[in-house]
Amino acid sequence: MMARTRRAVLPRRRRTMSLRMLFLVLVGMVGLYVMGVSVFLAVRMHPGAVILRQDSEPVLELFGVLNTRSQRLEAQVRDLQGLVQLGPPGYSAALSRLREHLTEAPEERSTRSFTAVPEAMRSAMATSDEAIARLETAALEVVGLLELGRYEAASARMMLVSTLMGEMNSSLAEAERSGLADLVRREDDLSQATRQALRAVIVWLIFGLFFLPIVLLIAYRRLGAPLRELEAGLTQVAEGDLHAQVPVRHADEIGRLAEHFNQMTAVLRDRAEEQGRFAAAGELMAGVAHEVNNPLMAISAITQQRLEDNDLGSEDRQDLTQILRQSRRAGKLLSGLLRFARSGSEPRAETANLRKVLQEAIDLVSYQFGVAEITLEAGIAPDLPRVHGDPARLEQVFVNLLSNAVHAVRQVPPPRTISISSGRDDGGVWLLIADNGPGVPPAVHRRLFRPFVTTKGRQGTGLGLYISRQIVRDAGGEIEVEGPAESGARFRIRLRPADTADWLVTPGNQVRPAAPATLSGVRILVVDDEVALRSPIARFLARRGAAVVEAGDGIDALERIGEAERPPDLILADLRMPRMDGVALHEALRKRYPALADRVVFLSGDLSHLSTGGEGAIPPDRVLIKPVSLEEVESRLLQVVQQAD
Amino acid sequence: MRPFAPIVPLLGSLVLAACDQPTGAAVIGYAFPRDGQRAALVAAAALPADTTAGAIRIVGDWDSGGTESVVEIARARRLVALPRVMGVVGHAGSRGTLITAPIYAEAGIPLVVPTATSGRLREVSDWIFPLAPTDSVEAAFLGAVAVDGLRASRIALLYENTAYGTGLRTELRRWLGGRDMTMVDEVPYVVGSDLGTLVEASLHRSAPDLIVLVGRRVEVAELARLIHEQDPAIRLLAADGAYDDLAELITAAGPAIDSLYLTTFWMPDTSVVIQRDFVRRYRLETGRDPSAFEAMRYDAVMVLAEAIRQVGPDRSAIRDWLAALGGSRPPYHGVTGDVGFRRGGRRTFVLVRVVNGVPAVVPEDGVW
Repeated sequence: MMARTRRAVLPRRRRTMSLRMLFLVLVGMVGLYVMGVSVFLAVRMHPGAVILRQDSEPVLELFGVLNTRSQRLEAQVRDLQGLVQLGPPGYSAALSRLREHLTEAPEERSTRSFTAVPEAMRSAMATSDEAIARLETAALEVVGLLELGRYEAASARMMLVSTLMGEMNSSLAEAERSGLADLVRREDDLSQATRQALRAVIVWLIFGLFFLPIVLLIAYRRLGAPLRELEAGLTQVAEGDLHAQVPVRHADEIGRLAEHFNQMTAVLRDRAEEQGRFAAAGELMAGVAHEVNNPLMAISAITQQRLEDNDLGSEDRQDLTQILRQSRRAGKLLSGLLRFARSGSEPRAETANLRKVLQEAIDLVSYQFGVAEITLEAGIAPDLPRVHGDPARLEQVFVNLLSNAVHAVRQVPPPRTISISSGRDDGGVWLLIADNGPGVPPAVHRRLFRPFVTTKGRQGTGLGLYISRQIVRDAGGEIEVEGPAESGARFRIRLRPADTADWLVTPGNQVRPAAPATLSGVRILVVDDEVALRSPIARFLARRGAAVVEAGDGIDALERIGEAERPPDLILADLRMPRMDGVALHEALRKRYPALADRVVFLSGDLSHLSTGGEGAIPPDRVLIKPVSLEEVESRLLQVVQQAD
Repeated sequence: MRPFAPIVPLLGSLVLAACDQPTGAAVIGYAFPRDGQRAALVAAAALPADTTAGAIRIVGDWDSGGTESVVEIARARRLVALPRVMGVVGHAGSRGTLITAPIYAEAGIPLVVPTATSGRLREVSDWIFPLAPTDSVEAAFLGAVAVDGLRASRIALLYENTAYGTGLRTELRRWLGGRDMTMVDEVPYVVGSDLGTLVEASLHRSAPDLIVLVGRRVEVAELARLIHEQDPAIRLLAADGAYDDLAELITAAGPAIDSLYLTTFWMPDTSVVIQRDFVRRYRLETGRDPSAFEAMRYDAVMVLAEAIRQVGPDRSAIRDWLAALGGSRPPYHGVTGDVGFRRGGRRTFVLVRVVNGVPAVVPEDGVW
């Protein structure tokens, strides 16, 4: 077993990362870019915002404390001023309350806040705090003087209080200015940071504008371009150009796909060339068969005529009988070959006589049995029903299987046996073709019906079993190779049995009307360029009572018709002739003698040159395929006479 | 001559030492006004010229005086700008330390705080290492002395109107509140206030039997003198801020010193070798006995120098070394006792009375 794989000559390819990895990398790069921009913005903007917020809170808190203290202190000083101006006596309760207010302890919070405010403001605020403390203490001194009844001293001390209040307000104003300046500075810093961040973002975006096309270019070069080339290659193949090749640029997934594509087109090219050779060989075979058929039919016809001579000696009669038998055998073989070659182009029938089809297939390959010392054990059940399927195509299946079997058993020493058995069960009609060859290797067992799989090496196309399975499946059946046998291969074919009604109405199997008993008195024009064939046919027909006129080709035939007083009743014409062939003659008759055109029976070694449509088409049932016996010629002519009547 | 006048030449030598420092010398900044430089001089003399981590130099901010916020911030800025500064010792009080702490945190410079007591110091940043007990610890000590020791029932408070004074006031309120007590009077003052009027008015309206004085030595001495003149029976209890120069205090307080109980972080114990040696060297360098403040500043410098010696001139490593001190690492044995920076820190206080001009430690179980 040798799997036939052919590698196209591939250009050097670059080793690159796989598409999956490339995709991950590209997505990662884009993600990093987006994340980078976000992180960058956060890093650039966040600290400034945090500092603005963090610094603002203690500053505002401290300002609030200092302002509250100073405003309350101012109010207390005003009260104190009023008490001093009021003079004695009777306000000890007011003094006591004032003293309590002055010794409240709000400064702890302010002291803590000093540590959190910016350094530039810390000094100014601490100075304000100290000024407030001095004013509070001075006010308490005044309270003490009033409590001691020293009004004049208190009044004089109030001047110091006023001075300290001025200092306090001045220091608070300075602290506010400092705070405002600090706020402005920080706003400037933030604004500058914002501008810098904006510039940086623009740079990032510009970078992104360059980065994105690069990503797209990479993606296009690695994905878009190779896919487009692959698509173009597929289109070429779809249009029939099997020489399409796709460049393999990278060792990635698409590169591997391109490699497979190129390998596939290479294999298809090889197969197409083989198919072309087979088709040419088939056509050549058809031509050869035609050329051989004519002398064979002439030999057969002459011999048959000679055998009708009553004066013939017994020894000569034996020899002539042998000549007739061998020529008919050769003719039968050629007919089978032609039928096999024509099987793809003939109209398909819906049902087939399986026994007959199988026998014809055996006839085709049987010439190999004797030489190769092969024993055929054919156990074909006599009561096999008709089956669905075209006989010619089913014959192709059996020929394939029998040919494979012959090839297989040739690999083993005699005795070589091919056995055919058949039967019917619930699944329908089955046919088993087995041999005692080497069998199907397990490695190809599952792949045996795939295209281009063969066990024959260069001698096989790898298409026989594939096509056979298609034919059998088209007929509604199935073909399978049975499990590894002890020796040899076993192919089982299952086919659907046809209902009786199905095949009774098949045109090819219709019961034909009975023909008249004789050609006596019938005027027949025999047209053939081969005198060796034409003459015995003419003499045979004349002996059957017909009035026979001979012509060498189509033109000669038309002249004879035109010269005759009465046109012939029938025309028997060869299809392949010089000057004017049978088809042209038929056309001419349709134009000049339409009634006569329907009374022509053609002889041909091949149907391949018949037109398949149009007014001038020759019905296939009017063509007798050579070699044919003279009795069959007579029978067909009688049918035509009867149909015409 | 002022008592610290003899040290001026020594200060000059410190300046020179700072200016002449080798390129590779690690620097310890010293953030105290001029009158707080003595401990640095003693520490500088105690430091070996070279260690395995290189030379260590102490650089003080000698050009500026005062402890106002503006001055403290400017002082911190100058110290932070010093080349190869590995840590700073300072500042003088809670207010100055709190205001300057962010500067050191931003610069990534460890700040060892010897005497500030604000409980909020540790909350500011991880770069601050206070040696002194917190406000709450000192308030508890003061409250216990006043209520349990001196059996006071009418307690008044005169306090410096700064973070130091208000911090102690708040904690003292809280401690007394725990005993269902309140202070009969709270009087804030600032430098330059008319203390006589404030004292007279307070005594007039509240009639206290004990007054807690929270402030610096100068103001506390003046307040003690004024109160004693008004009512010699009133007992006086001074917080730690007053005990920085006992001689000056005795002189300024006059007869009131007999009514004054002084709180301090440390008193030298001559039975302890390291303390005795420190006192000797201090006397030798400055001609006087060290106060608790000076001893604490000395320990702050020395613990920072030890950190540099141990981990080299690496600020982050120094910070980590200091943070582990007293925790995962054994405490540093300083002249004021074991130095560590665990949460809660130092909790010891000493109560002192001046008897015949000589300070005497009041034992906890002694006669108050």
